[in-house]
Amino acid sequence: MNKELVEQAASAVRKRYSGASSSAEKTEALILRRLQPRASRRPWLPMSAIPLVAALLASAAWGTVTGNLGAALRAVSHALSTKHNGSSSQALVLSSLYHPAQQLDASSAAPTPDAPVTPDVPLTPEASVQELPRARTRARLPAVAPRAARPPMAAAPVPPVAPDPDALFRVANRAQFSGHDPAAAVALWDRYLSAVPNGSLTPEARYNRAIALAQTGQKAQAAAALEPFVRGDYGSYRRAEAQQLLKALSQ
Amino acid sequence: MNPWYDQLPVAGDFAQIRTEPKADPVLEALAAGDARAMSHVYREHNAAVRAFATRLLGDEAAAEDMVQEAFVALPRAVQRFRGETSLRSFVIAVAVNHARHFVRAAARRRQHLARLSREPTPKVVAPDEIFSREQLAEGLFRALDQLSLDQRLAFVLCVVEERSSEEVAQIVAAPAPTVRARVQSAKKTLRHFLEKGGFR
Repeated sequence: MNKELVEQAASAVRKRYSGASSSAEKTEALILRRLQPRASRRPWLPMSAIPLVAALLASAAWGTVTGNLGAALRAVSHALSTKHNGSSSQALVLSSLYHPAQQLDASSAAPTPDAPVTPDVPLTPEASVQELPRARTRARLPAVAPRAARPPMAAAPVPPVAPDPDALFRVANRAQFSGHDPAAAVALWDRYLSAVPNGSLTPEARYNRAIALAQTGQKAQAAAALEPFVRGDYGSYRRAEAQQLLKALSQ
Repeated sequence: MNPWYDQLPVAGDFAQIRTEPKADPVLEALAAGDARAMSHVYREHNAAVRAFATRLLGDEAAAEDMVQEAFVALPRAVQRFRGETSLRSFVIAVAVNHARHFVRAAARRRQHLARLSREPTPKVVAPDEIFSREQLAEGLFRALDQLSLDQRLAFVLCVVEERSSEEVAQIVAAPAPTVRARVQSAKKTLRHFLEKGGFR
């Protein structure tokens, strides 16, 4: 067992990454930009919202548990729509919110001459139960015309079959790293890049192509292919490696 | 009274600061979110943090994001800094606290690439020394993905970055013997996976 293998690998990683980066200044600017809102952030806004949210949640939970959420909402809408006798309707709303049993009694009682307006929506439990199925039935009605009434669809043109980019990448990668056939790999990378000129793996494909070119002895083409990486066209991606390879090619 | 940036220490001495944060104007300003203080600390320590991040992740773009997260978290974290270690080690410890997400993302990206290529590690060493070294580094990162985060951190900090186990113990907040045990275990696992990958 080669005990030095791990140390060699660690040394390779250490030499590969020294901590220098062309993106250092850009990162500094981003950090400073993210630093500024922190100072001006106000913690009181979410703190003040907590009691409101808690009250809303508690009310909704109460209404759901007691089964009077729908009735209470109807009472509120009734109170808002009633034009006459505002004080008695408000009292009804309040009593329905806090005393559900009283609310039922009040709704079943006959209207007095002082309060002649009949509620638009009856507040009895039967009424509230009966309304739901009706609404559901309406919702279940077919919204579109029957199939026979539709016009016949025109035959859609069949799109041309494009090569699978993943398969192209896989084949090219295999040719280069498993088959050790750099010449074939160059051709296959060219094919991949013409199919996927701007994919997420395109930079990796360009980098691998450059290595394949170098392996076939086409140093000038390899150097030209590595130039965009050195120039920083892809940010810091493979930049250090491309610089090392260019240096090696020029020797 | 002169502002803090007129009393800055010499650049090389800055990493050796071992004072309470309240006694240090730079750290006080940093804790308050001062941009000049952040800029100064960033310029002093970004290379060390970036080197650690790239050596841990094997992905320069992800490492750049990790550096950014570490420094953005620094003003809040520095309030806990008591000078037991150098500021540089403290910043790296902050980066370590953000490592988990980035290690996972980098490992996922490598797995995605490997799945696409179904690339076994090369069985024949390439003629060029650079190529073989590159391949060995890539092989190590694939093997590192097999380790737990604790073992990975211990290996990178102790073996790749060549820090003492005592310093690493302070960075990862674990006893030094535990760190040494993690390194030994990591080495064994890495050797197995490197050899399995065709490296000799």
